[in-house]
Amino acid sequence: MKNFFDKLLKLDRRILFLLVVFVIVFPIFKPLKLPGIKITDAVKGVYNTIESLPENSVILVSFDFDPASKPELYPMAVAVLRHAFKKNLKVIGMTLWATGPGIADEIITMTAREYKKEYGKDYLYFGYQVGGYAVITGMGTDIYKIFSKDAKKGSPLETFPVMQGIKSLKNFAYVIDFGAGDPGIDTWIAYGADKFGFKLGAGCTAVNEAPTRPYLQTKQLTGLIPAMKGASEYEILIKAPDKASAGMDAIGLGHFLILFLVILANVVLIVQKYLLT
Amino acid sequence: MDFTAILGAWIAVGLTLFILSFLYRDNPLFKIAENLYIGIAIGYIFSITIYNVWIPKIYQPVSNRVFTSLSNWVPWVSKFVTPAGDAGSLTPLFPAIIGISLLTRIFPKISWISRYGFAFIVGYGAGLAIPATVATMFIAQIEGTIQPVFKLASGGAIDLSGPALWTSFSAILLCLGVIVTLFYFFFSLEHGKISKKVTKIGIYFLMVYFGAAFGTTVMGRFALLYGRFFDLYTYRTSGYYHATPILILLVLIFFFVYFGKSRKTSP
Repeated sequence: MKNFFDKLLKLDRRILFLLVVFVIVFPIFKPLKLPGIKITDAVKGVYNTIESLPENSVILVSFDFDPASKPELYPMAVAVLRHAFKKNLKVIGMTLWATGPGIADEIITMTAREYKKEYGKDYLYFGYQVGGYAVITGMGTDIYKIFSKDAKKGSPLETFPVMQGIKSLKNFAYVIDFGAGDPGIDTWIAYGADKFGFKLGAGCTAVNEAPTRPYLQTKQLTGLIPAMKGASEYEILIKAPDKASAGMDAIGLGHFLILFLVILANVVLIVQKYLLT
Repeated sequence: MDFTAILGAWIAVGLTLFILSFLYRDNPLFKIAENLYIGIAIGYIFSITIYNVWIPKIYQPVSNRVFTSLSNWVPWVSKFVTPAGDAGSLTPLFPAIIGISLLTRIFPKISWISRYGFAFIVGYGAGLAIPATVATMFIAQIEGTIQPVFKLASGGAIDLSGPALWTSFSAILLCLGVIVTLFYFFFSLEHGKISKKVTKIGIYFLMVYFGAAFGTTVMGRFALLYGRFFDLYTYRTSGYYHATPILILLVLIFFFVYFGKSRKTSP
């Protein structure tokens, strides 16, 4: 018995890696549709704000993340844009991350095509601008001084119909930031929403969830979509289950495995220390 | 499916497997992927900065201004050079020079020039950051902490319904948590018997936060891993010429050959 526990404690960690791989891969091949996804108020905050906007309202979406955070933020960005286009809102995209333009362009173009939206009329892509908080501060007073041309066609912004009536951040009906770090949600709140007084919603990675939640309680954010779980909630809300909903099986099983291993390790240690000595 | 999508899938699968191969043991495939990642990331950011910042924000306005002025003074210049876009401006030179001044740190003899650049950045950054940070992360958070403990129902009486009482409990718990946690970081006075107990409660609140942060971090890591495996699953199909199974097989063959060889050569 003692030998067994000793072996268990000295288990090769590569076996644990294999177990993790198994619990992640298994639901991809055979979706389990585990129950338990509850729609939270934080996610509803973003959904309800978009739902309350009248048709043709213009919203700004900032994709402040890179490929490293794609699995967490990409599904929620797609879900929110699908919701916006379905509601016939006009969407303008941008990014504050040098490594973000490719993903931002891909998301906005793909979702716009799904709803047969026209570039320049229904959506626009500003592209990347260096400067972080200076960009947001500048956009708060005059967007045209920060982004003079769009990123796809290189034409002056004022030539696009979607820009009618848009001069500064205050003219957007809603601003949403999908942020994985700095510049990101903190920057948009401090230099944007709090300063210029526009409605701001956000989507964050799981790592950033705990530090970002206080902004919900203070109503500095109207809503927050946290990580893949938040994205799956949003997919349920818009009745379009996709990548995030599929991924929740894997994450659920992964959590069970970690919990099981933590409990097992503690039980083994306790047994070894108090019962086998 | 077009060639670039297939090539992209093969590269993505290959590099994912190379990076994950480190979980078994350090090996040349991992080293290749690691070095490629650093090189490509720097190269990508460099090219984005050149094409999204330097050319449209500095080169074009400055060159337009220079060519327009030159054409006014020397008319034959306009026959050879036509400035693209508006008349341009020389103003971007100012931030460009400040930015370039930071590079003088490479040369010790003239590194003093960089101080002007840093002075500007620190002054501008602090001026912009301090009021915004104080308002957003300090005053607004204090306001959020001082919530009314009890909700008033219509008629001015205290609302004793279940949700209202739960809100009151949350408000009290939040306020208590903030005070005891702040007390833990109060080092101006030696902590006595009572204050030690208060700080201990503060530690428990901190542990709850760390636990929540760690839990969400685990969730995040699983999401990232799922993302990679989902891509591997997607690229296994005939549309991508079975990129995943073929590359897994090749990596395994390499492992057998490489580690088999190193086992034979090791004393």
